[in-house]
Amino acid sequence: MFESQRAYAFYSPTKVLSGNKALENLPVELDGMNAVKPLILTTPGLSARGMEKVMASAFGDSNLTIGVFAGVPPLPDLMLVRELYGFYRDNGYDAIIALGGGPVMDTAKALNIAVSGRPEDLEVLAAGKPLTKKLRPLAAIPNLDLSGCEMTRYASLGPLSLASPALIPDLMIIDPRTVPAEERKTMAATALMSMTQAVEACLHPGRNPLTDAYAYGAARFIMENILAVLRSPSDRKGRLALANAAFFAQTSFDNLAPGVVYELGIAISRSCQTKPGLIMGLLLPHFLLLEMRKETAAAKDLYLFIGGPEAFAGTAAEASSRKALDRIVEVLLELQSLVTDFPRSIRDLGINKEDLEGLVAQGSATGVRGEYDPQDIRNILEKAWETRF
Amino acid sequence: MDLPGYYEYYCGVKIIAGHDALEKIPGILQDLHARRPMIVTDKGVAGAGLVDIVLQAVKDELVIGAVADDVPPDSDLRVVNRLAALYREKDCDALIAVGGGSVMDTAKGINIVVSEGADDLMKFSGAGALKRPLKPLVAVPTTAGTGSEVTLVAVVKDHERHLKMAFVSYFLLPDVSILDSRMTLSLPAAITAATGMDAMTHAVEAYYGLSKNPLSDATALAAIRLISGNLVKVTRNPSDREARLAMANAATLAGMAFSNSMVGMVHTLGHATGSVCGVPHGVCMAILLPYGLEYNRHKREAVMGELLFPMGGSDVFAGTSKEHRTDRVIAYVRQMNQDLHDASGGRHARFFKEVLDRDGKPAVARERLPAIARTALGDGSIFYNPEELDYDDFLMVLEAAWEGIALDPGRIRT
Repeated sequence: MFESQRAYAFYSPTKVLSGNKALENLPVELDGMNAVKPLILTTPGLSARGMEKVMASAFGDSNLTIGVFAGVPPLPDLMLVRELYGFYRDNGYDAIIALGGGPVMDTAKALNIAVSGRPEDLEVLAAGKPLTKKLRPLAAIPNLDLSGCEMTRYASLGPLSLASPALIPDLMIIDPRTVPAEERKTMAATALMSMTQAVEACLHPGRNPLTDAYAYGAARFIMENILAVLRSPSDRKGRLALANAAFFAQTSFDNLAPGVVYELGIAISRSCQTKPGLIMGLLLPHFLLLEMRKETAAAKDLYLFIGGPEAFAGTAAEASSRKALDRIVEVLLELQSLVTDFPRSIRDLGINKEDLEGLVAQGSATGVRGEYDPQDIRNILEKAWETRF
Repeated sequence: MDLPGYYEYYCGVKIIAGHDALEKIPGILQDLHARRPMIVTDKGVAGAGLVDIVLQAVKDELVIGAVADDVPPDSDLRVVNRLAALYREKDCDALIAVGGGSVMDTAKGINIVVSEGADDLMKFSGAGALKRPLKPLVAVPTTAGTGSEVTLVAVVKDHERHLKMAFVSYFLLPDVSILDSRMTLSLPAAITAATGMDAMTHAVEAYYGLSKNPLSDATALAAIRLISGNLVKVTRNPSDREARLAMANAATLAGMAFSNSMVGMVHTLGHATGSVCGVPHGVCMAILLPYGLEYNRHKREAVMGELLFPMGGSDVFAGTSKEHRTDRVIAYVRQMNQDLHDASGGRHARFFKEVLDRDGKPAVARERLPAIARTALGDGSIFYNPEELDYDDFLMVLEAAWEGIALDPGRIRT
């Protein structure tokens, strides 16, 4: 662990503020970036849960003038961003606060590109040309309903796929008031997404001491808190730990190429209405079985991430990767008992056996890592289709 | 892993590491929209041929505006202003700092002057005085220890006015740090050992300090693992490139850990010993680290015990019961100093009475210990130390560290 000697680059430009009254520090942080009039983006659902009011009270006696747009839909598009561009410009906003995950963050990143230059820059970036302008300050206030890319360089907006390190938020605020309990299924999906990102970072051939450090933090927090939070969603500290874990996992993921479980999970979720995290949870054990057979040093290290130093040190090296797999399956089974209508296999998602070949092709095409041949991917998919956990 | 009630963490420095990381500099500067960097370094670094390696690595793709290779070990405002003038005269638009702490501080000072058009640097001292990004700064550390390639502090002295100006700002962080094994390959054994123990101290104090957080913990653990596996090895065999790169990584990780968690009494006493007796910082850290552990253990027993895992590895950790782990951690650090002492032909000092100055005379006379203890009282780094210390406590620790004996548990506050 932590011993990889390959050449690498690592970048994480986000300042983290996590814990009690973290929100109250946002005005000072924005001021440090010369911003005093931020626009808050959020969804109607979060707005109805009173999240804006929490923000407003936290900013009470600061000099911030805040604007709010609480109409981010589940599938934001370019038209929305153009509309918000006008709204932002007309009102003289100077920063964006994204309150919520997934579509809110996608909208915020896209809007930031537009307002820092022109809306046309979105297409320019999507076409693969780098951004030339420095972006305006962007603060993220994530909850436990996440897509897995909030704190990364990636965003998607309708058909546009955007990727630039400049899109990574400058600030991230994790405050108990803005990380409320979500439905169990939602929190399970978010945690399994983080788990997948952390596990794939640990096993990634390009891992480095920094991705290891972040993936380790993520895996430890998830394993120590996921079941406690699902059993008792009022576990405030546990929820904050899971939100922290999501950030750590995304950061390790963002500094490596996406892994095969992640890619397959995203691809499958497009054809059914199931959150990618749940699907990744179903794929992960089969992927780990495959990795175990390779007997790499990374596969042995995985149990340190999953089980922690005490359990890892007390386990013979040759049993280590098996133990990691067992622990992950245990957690998965427990989650299935805690979450109603948690799918048991990808067959349960309405995927037909004949659809698997198409996914194999997609998985191979996205195989940035290159070491998975179609047979491996077919193997993972078939097992995840046949086996009911 | 523990989640504190509140924490902050930031390290926006892009890290580029490898045996040929220097070759990435032209592309990095292009991304930062810079075309004509000035290299800031010192005679020692240039004399060791390191600037030539940098120049060779970038020559086909980059025009170097100026090479300033005369930063003195005790740099000050005059040097900063002179080099800022050179930067302007040569029409430069970025800085590459190649060196250790003094070079980094000087480059950060120059950056304030040339970015802000400042004629009085004093206006920008203290926290929060800088309001906007400075010119691109690329850090190329040539020791593996200080972590200054990822810290947001710069200290510039004004010898004429007898002032020491401290600048603290995220804008002082380098944009990019380059960790290249070639930059430390020629470092002598004793300096390798002392600077490596500086990094070890950053990580250990960050881990058991009161202001720790999950990211300082994870980076500290990674740093300690790398140092434990590589420092003695590279001190024995200085041309081990893999171990050099591992130590460069470790120093940066440890820098991230302590700059987001803070250090404690080992640094407090180290600063004081450095200022009273002129002992190099890393030497002080190596000698004092076991005492920081001993003095604070009653407050942080469990947390310190966790360090046995990255230090000793799985078998030692699993084979040691919880109540004995901190003993093993302290013994491990002492053994490391002993091994470094042996590997450096006796040049790595284990206790203060062994430290020699440039003329080979003892650098820390026993009668100076009270003066060191008094100086330590004024140092802010004690704030996050788990247990409190007054003058008598400082002196007790110094006396033990001078002699090289363990602290008497009966004399530690509880």
